[in-house]
Amino acid sequence: MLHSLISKFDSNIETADAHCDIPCGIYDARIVTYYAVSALRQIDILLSLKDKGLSDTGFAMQVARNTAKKEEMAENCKHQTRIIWGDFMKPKNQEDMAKCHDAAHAIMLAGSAVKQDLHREDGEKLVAAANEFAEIFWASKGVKTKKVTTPYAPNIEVVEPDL
Amino acid sequence: MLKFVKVRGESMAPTLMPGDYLIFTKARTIRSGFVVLVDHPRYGVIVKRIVSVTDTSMDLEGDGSETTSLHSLKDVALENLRGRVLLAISPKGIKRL
Repeated sequence: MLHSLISKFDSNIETADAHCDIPCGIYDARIVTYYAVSALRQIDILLSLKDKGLSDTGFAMQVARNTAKKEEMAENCKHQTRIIWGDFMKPKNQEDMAKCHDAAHAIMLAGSAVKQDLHREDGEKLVAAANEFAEIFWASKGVKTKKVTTPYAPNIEVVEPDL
Repeated sequence: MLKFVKVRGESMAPTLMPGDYLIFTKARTIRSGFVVLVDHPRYGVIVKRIVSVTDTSMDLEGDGSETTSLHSLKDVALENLRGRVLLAISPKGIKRL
């Protein structure tokens, strides 16, 4: 009752933060590409399972494990994108803002597609969107980027900062 | 003089929840365990619990498991202290701190 009474004067009451999201200042788009590549790798593993000669039980177990991991990696990719996009990205002009928004949105869509089904092209789209996002991120920090091929499967091209 | 603030965020959960109103007053004495309101030079007005205190500074921490690390709230100057929180008013009732 007292709470609802005070709430009527809410607009005049100062706010005290008890935040968990106090920025640490450490933002790095490599984590987005890392999870995108990991999700693609899980797709590749899943698509290759039927050629492994596994027992029914072994096959079912591997499908369950790799599917769970695929979804986790895709969700991590989306989560890390949201943090960078929401907490760090402050594009200097409307054009940058539009590019940033489009790249983040592309990751959301591709990440969901990776979770929902099992198509390699969805994983490739996720990596491509993560690369686009990484380029915008590093450009906003004034850092040049380079494209390198991961020295491990799925041996796909990713955007890295040229430090 | 008593003053009101409203809690935003969950780092003091379950002691304080978002939307709770706090009544605080200027602290005559402070010691570890007190819930305090601090005008932090970097984070703005925050509510945290004192972990330890010296003549000139205090270390703060949230009650929640996902609070800002203790490291980042170490050695906060006592001059930044706004007051000690005495009561929390939530929809469930009043809690003395």
